[in-house]
Amino acid sequence: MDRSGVLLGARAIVVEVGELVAFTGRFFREAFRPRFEWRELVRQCYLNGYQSLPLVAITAFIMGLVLTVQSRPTLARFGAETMLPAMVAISVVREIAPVITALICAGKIGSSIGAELGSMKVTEQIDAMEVSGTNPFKFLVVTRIWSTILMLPLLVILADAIAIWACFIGVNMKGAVSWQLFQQQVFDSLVFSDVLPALIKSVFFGLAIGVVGCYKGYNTEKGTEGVGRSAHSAVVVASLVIFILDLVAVQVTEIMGLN
Amino acid sequence: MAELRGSAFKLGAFVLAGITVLVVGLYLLGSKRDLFSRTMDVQARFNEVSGLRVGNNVRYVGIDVGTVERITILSDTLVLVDMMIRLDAAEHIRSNAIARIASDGLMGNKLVSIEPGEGNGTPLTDEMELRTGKGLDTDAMLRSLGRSNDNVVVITEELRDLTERLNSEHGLIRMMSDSTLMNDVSFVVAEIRTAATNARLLTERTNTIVHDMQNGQGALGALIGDPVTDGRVRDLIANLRSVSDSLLFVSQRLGSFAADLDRPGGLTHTLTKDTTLTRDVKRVVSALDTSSTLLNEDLRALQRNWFFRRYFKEKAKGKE
Repeated sequence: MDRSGVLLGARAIVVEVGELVAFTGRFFREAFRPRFEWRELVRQCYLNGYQSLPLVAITAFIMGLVLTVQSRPTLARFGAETMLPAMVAISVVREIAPVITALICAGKIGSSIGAELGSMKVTEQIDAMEVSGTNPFKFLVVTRIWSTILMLPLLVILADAIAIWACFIGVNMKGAVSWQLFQQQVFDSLVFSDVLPALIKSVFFGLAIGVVGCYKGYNTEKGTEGVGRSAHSAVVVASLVIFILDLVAVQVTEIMGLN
Repeated sequence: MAELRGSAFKLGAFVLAGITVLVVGLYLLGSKRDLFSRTMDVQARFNEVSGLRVGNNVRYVGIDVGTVERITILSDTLVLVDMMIRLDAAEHIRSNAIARIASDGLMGNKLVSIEPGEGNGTPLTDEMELRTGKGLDTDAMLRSLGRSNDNVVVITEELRDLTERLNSEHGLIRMMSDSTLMNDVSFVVAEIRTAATNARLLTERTNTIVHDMQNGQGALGALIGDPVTDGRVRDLIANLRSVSDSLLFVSQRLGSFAADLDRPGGLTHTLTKDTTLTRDVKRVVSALDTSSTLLNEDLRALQRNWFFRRYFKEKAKGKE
């Protein structure tokens, strides 16, 4: 790639970031202004939250179990097997559950939103909605973004619970720890500063998934080929934004002394 | 419509499940931090808190009874720690309890450990200040451990040297492996044992004799205990003292006599130290020798003289 190509690519990225920020600003302008599409919001919550639960639950279970089984030999080397529940709980609650859940949702929800809105865009259904007097942004975008913002923290909470339960199973695979003792060890190690930043972070992850998915779908071009590209790029960009947000969140919690 | 209602139900169940998990989790976290129990504030002043942080546990006789609520620096050597203690636990803590900074295991979090004090104290009241004691200083432990390690190194090196010397050609271990030497040593030990037995018997017998003597038993005891003998011995000692005095007088006289003899002009001094006299004596002796030789010749000549020949013949016949 020559220099002009690099410049063009960089310019395109800057433009895309600018449009994404503008799109987010438009969402915040529309989000708190009536009229609210409650029925559509509930439907989107059902689709993006409830229907993502099985995937998130299986992933969280596997992550909790694998993390426990993999960490045990290292801790056993230091004679610190009793710290396994605490270590897994802190890891899951602070980092693994929010990030893994967000990535799973970026793949599932981001791609579905991008593809759905993209196909509506290329089949001019969005234009038709505008012509019929319906605000397509409010009906299609705001409801979807709100649903991801609301559902992702719930999915993260359930993923936390499932992963910790899987950890309990993992701990008992090579030992015998009662649920009461396990629960004591987990909640002795956790503090509010572990839970609340993770939940706040998952709200921003939900916002990122919804905004990127809707932006990519809402700005789909070039027919059905563009729909596939929108779905694909929605997943890639949302995942990238999730990692960037996670990095920022770590720095913020560090500065605030919550680590 | 029915489908929408079914979806709403599932969504509602999903949301309720998530919120329930969140609420239960937060409640459990809060209960661990005593957010939902009645508490009492207690204070303690420490010289240093060794990394204690707000939220660290407070333990009484090993049981978690509260948390650290606030840490305030009062001066360069004084830190005020405010603690929140559950009321149900606080009623067992007395005013004479002692608070210390401790650690949850060797590498665990810092905590405030409250221990019962000696004697009786009044029940704990709100805002009461506890006495503090010096906690276990991990840094001091490590410093002490470092010194111990240095000592162990020195001891190990000395042990190695000792072992090498013991194991050397003329070392003890080589000597111990020599069967002849061991036999000799065994013999010597047996001899020492016999000697020790004899010494013990001798001591016992001596003790018996001394005991008998003290009690006036036996010949020596009777001798020591007899008043007549005692008087005689005293007389003997008095006589000995008199003889000793006489001897002393005589020896003094002899000394004086010897000194007179040895004085210049005295007999001994003249004989031993006067060289002129010595020469004269030698000359006299020499003259006497010469005179004696001449006299012998004269006498032999006299024997052949006719006047005395008859006398010497008769004398010879008488001998025969």
